[in-house]
Amino acid sequence: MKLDGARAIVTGAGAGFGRALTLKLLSAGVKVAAVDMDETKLAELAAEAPDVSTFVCNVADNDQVEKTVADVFSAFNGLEILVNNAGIMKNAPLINLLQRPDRKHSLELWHQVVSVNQNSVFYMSRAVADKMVGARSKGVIVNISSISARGNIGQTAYSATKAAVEAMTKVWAKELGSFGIRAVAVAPGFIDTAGTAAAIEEKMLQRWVDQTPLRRTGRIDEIIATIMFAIENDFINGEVLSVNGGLVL
Amino acid sequence: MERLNDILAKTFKISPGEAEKDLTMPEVAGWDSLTHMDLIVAIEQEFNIQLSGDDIADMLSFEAIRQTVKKYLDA
Repeated sequence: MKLDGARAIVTGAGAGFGRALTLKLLSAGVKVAAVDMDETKLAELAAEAPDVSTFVCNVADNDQVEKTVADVFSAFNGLEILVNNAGIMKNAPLINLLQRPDRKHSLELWHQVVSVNQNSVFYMSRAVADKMVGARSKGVIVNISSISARGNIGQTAYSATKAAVEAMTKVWAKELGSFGIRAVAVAPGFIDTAGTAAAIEEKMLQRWVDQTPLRRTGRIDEIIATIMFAIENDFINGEVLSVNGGLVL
Repeated sequence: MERLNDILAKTFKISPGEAEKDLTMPEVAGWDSLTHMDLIVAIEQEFNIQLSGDDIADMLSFEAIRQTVKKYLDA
């Protein structure tokens, strides 16, 4: 895909991968709709990158997603790239013996993670794909998965949603391929981000690092490079690109 | 309590000397809600006891663990 002049939506663009990816795409000449529910972070992004278009949206709310996608298509007159990056990482075992009075995994936490990590990808992708198919325009949907899709201990909800994201990626690769719309997932391992630091205790993170053949966490730029590769290579479709330092072999 | 100290050392991957101390949960690097499950299973199998939910949730230091196991063995 030729990046210069292409148009993209990046969700969760206010921080982490989403922010870094937005800046990278802008530098490559892509028109970017930066989507995030945090207006302040979007304003900070816009201050750094005046060319970006920002859209405040809770991607876990389908009505907001439909409106935002309509607004973006109206502003950009089309779209070639969707990156479903927005997500949250929450840790909880299915049964927590230390938790009283209810030892069971919180239902509220389960629904929250499913809404943000899984439903949002479904909402955003169906809205964008509908418009792409309607316009008979080629494009790519990149979904951010995780090494947790393979089943990380203590991450029932997060792992389940990331496995679902990978499954949806493969389904859409098959369903939309004939329209020239690709779907690719990028599955980072443990990456040095504020989100990782907030979600995983340092001692647990060190255990994962010790099990990684490269003996380190990944860097944001290493994930961004993989997302860019997924966007630019027009023959990658339905794949999950794992970037984890060899933690899973 | 030597058998219990062996379990503590093995579960939390600490030295036998460390296992003899009265360490609390925050002081043991490998002790979280997941390894706590491994600890409980190991204790119940070793001593053939079944710990109550409240006792399990109160076992937040090595000394509390020792006292709790002793209570069951003395009962």
